[in-house]
Amino acid sequence: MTITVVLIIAVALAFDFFNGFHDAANSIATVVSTRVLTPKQAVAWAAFWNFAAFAIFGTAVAATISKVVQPGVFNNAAIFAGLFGAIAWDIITWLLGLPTSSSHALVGGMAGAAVALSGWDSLVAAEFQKIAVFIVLSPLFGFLLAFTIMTGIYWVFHRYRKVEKLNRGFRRAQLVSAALFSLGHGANDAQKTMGIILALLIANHRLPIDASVPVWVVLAAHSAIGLGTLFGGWRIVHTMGSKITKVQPVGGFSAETAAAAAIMVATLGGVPVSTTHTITGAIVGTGTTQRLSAVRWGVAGRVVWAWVLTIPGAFVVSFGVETVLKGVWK
Amino acid sequence: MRFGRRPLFFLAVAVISLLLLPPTPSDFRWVNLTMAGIALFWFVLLGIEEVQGDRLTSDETAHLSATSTNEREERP
Repeated sequence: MTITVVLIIAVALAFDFFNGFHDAANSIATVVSTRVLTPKQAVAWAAFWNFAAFAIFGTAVAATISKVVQPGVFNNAAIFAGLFGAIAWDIITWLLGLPTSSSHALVGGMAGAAVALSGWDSLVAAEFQKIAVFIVLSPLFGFLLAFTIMTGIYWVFHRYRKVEKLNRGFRRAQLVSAALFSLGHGANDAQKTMGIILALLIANHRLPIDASVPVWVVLAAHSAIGLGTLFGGWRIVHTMGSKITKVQPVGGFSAETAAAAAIMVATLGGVPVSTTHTITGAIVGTGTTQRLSAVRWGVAGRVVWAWVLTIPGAFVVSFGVETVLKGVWK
Repeated sequence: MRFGRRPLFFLAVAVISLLLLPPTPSDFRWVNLTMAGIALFWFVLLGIEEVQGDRLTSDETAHLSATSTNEREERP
């Protein structure tokens, strides 16, 4: 393996680490804001389940990511440019405190680099269509499931008068729902990096074009995302946990369970969804059980704008980097 | 009768899910259909709640105004 390949794998794993760092908020925002766990305990819990996901889920999402661009198009410089665009966009949105999607940043980044290298024909329209449809569907799916679970819980327990005891019960149940969500997050997001490393190894003729993801790549990606979560990003916890809507233990439980179910369905089907989109939709869903005005739509709207800009933003950065690299990196 | 925003919000979610049905890969269309089903279910339930709530409010208003008229008439 050449030093270039090793360096790009290191950058890909750094992206995975930053993905965990950036998205740690999604896994732990509700358990922290409802005071079920302290921030430190919460990140350790989420990081463990991020890593454990490797033993449960396959690599269907990694296969989808590696197919976003026509086989044979990518070279080392383009993969580097794609990763650079995604990381740059993640850092910008992190500095602004916006919970955008690292996954879509990665897709936008890879697309930008591929277009700069070989034009629009290098993109696989069907894969983009799948990702684009689920950009809209995943938050709505999280929203509907969370609303349904929350209303179901209210319906079952509406005669129960011991509210304190009930809250205690849901605080404990949130440990399970947060673990499920972290499991889904680890499975779906770590696989995106696996897809990039797979594309890199194929581009360098280290693996045949139809190869599956090697075990060392699976373990490295899950370790990187787990470590990233362990060093979690606190700026976004605030936006996710309290600014969109005030979250109670029952709401946290419903939102995490709904988001976990939606992400797991997508992961098993090989769809790279955004864990950020899904949990945001689910938190809005729990807020809507009170009334629509319980949701702070101004903050939710800012988040939606960041979503809309993520793929074009990362695309433009990567396109620029690849255009420069094309002349320099032969 | 005033129709609240919440049922309409769910109707909008159902419409979006169904509009996205053609571009969704065939393997995943069940997701759109399930979502549309759940959203329509809540649209109907919340709609009924709104209508009943409206009827109750108008009945209560009518009852209250009738009571106050009777009270006024009974007063010496």
